[in-house]
Amino acid sequence: MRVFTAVIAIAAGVLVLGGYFFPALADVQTLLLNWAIILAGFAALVGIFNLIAVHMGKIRGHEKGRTYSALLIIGLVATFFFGMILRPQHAMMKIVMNGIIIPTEAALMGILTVSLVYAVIRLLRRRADMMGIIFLVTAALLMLGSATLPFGNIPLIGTLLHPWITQILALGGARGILIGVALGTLTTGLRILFGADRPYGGN
Amino acid sequence: MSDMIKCPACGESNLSDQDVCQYCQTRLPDVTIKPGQIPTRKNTAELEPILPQWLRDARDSAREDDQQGAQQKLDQPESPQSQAASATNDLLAGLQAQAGNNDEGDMPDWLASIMDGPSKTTNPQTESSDTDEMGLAGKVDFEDDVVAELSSDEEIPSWLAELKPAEPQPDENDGANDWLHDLERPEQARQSELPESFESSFTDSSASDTPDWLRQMAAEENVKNEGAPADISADVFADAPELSIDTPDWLQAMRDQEEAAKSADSEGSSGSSFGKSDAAENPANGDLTDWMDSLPKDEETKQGAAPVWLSNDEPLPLSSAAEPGDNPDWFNSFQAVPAFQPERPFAPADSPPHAESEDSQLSDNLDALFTDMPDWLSDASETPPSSNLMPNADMDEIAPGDLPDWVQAMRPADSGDSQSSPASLSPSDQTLETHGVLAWLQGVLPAAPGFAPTSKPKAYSIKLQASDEQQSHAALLERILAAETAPVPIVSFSVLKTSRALRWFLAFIFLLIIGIPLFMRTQIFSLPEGVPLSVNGAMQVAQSIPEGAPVLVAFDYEPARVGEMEAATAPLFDQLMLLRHPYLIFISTNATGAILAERFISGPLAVHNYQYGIQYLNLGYLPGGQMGIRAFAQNPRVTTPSDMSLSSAWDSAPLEGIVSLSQLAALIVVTDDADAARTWIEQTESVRGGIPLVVISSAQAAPMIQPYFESWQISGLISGLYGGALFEQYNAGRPGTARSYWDAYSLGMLLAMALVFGGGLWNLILGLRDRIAIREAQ
Repeated sequence: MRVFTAVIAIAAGVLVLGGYFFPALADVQTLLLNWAIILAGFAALVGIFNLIAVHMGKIRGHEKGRTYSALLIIGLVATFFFGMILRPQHAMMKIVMNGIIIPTEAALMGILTVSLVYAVIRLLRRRADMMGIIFLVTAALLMLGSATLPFGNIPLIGTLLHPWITQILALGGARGILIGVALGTLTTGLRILFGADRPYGGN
Repeated sequence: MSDMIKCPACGESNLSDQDVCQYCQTRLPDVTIKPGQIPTRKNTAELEPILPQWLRDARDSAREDDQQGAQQKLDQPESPQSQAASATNDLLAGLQAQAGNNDEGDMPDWLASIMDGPSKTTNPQTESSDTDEMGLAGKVDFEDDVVAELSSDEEIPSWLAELKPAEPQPDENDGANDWLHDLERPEQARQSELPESFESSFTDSSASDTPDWLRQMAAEENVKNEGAPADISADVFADAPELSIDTPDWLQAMRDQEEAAKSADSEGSSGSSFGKSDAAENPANGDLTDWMDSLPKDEETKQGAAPVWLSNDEPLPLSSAAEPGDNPDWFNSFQAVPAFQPERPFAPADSPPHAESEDSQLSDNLDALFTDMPDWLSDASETPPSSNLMPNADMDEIAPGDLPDWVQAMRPADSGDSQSSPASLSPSDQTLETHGVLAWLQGVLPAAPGFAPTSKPKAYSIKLQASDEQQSHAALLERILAAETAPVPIVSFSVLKTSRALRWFLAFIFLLIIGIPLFMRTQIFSLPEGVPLSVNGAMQVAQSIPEGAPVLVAFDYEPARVGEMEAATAPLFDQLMLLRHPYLIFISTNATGAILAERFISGPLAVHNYQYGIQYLNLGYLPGGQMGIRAFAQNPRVTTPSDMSLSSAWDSAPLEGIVSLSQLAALIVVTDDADAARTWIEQTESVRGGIPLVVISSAQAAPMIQPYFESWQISGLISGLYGGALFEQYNAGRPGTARSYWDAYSLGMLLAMALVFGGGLWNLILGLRDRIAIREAQ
């Protein structure tokens, strides 16, 4: 059975990969990708049902936080049915989006801002080494360079230091990360194609 | 009393630390044997260099006397007693060979004359005994020796030759000497008597040298085995020791065979008599030859034919047994040093005796003579010293003048002290030397097995005797080992208490500083100056899009970043909708992206009054991540056949006639995730053709997307509020979203920078103070 699954996975990978290089395999590639899209959508639906089952279990078990589980299930079911009936373009759905989802997530981002500032302030209290100091100074310079003064950019920092940091240092680091990601993706893909890694099951 | 040494000369006990005896001034031996120590075997040849010169001279003179005596004996006719001594020497020669002493230089002449001389005389019975011994040594030696010796015509010993005419019974004499006469017969006559099988079993050389009786024995064995193809010669020789004893009737058979051979010579037939003679064997006579049978029956014959030493049951006196000069040196040393036993004792005295019978008594006695030590030899060692205290003057052939003076002084024969105090000596030390240079010396050569420790082993204390320095080193080692095994506590940082007040202070100050400009809509801070290349590229794309061209917009950001993303995106789309009136097709790989797109059209861009299905279209959610994007880029009609309202998307005005991405005017990706931007860039690169791609990202994802712009994989990049503010300046300040946020943004950045810098410096000082305090406390 494991061999069978490995053969299917490798064959699908080879066909999809060949679609990038051979136009004759483009239709096969599209077919396989559409199957993958359907499976991904179904997986999202399975995930939703799993979420409901977990929180229903908490409610039945009278576990701690079952009130939040009840709110989650109520909101999920209500949004689902209203979305299916009213459609996303409906004003009611826009109110739900603009009045609940966006402010909640934006508030979390605001709390994250306060928490990050707090952590950076306390950083040198715990770890007063060179890397901590460099991290702190770099963050301060980038924030200072991103802002402007009433009379324009901050001299030397906003006009020279900030662009140099973002376009040279940050860009170099980002390229290195991207190259690493590309090599890792290539290696992982080849290992899966050769059957060395079987994330779909088996050893 | 525990460490006493007994003087070997006077027998008095002395302290162990003394070198000489305090009574007789004799040098005390060094006690080297410790209790429990196993004596090691030593080669006496190693003692040769330390032998005193006077002893060597005495030995040489003894050898010269031996040679002279042997020469005289050769000149004189041998008496029975001398023959007995010769036989004894022959026996001792065998012992010498067994002991592995191959030093021919020490071999006496009489032994050399016997072994190497042309007139070598061998007793058949002695040959049988030799055969027994050689049978133990190996078959090969037996074959070589026996066949060669039996084949010689001079094998008859002299004493046996003398025995023959003294036989009183001629019939038995014939039986005993027929085979001897047969040895003198022509070889051809003997060859003709052999059967074919027996003849073929021998090699040419062995067949010619083998006596008839031995061949006849083999033939008998062959007849018994009825043609067994085994190597007869090997079997015969292997069984030869037994045959020599257990073949009593082979001589009888030979006698009968002789008569049959004589008749066969005349009749010309032979060979068949083997079976007949074999069948006529008498088991009752089977253990002794005829001439040996006659020996116990006729006492006179035995006395007259056998040597005197063979016939005497009583042990011979030591003086008459042999002259001291006749004994080889090695034999004397063998007698004096009993601890050194040869590897193979020549006389297996403890070997199992043969089956005894009255008829074979003499045969056993004869075997015992060749296997056991003669009585005169055993008497010499077993005779009590009291019976032989008087030495024979003839035995001491060494001139007294050859001895050193101190040896002369030590000789107890002169003083008679050895007789006076025998009771003081231990039984093991009572061996009295009767001849040689050590004559009348008692206990000079003590037997090693008789040595016993006379003192208890010294008691040693088991308490460790260690100096102070050694004890200090040991204590240091113990501390080191204890430190190695002691658990090391894990270094842990002190957990900082959460400053709830600081958090509240930060939240309050941020809300205050950011809230006031937002609510007051102040425009104090100036917009950023300068246009980066990435923003400039986005401007050029916006200006290059044809009028009313379809533009695909991917909304892939989270609702939490709506404020930043809408402020960064609005200026570009405002310019496009204002100037180019493109058809906008929204699609999202995020579940909330489709609703955020509706919010974006109906929010910041509401002034353009774009109508769904006419000027823009929302394809909704595209599942599958990278696979969905690739499938959509490959065949958009198949992947997303309908829009968010479940109506046919590709029949609407925005997508009319569009079958691939390359037919679109531009692709704009609005995302806060660098991976989403990378996926759109990479998966659509091969199918989008030459259409421009612009990425509008958050400030967080901009550094990861910037390399794609540097490598010209994307046409423009607008990142965060900073990029939106830049683009908005070139859009105549429309729609003004970035401008409304800019004062709060700038104040928030300055405040955060001040808090991070000031708070970090303050906490750095506090941290240094804590570390100094900890070090001082330690």
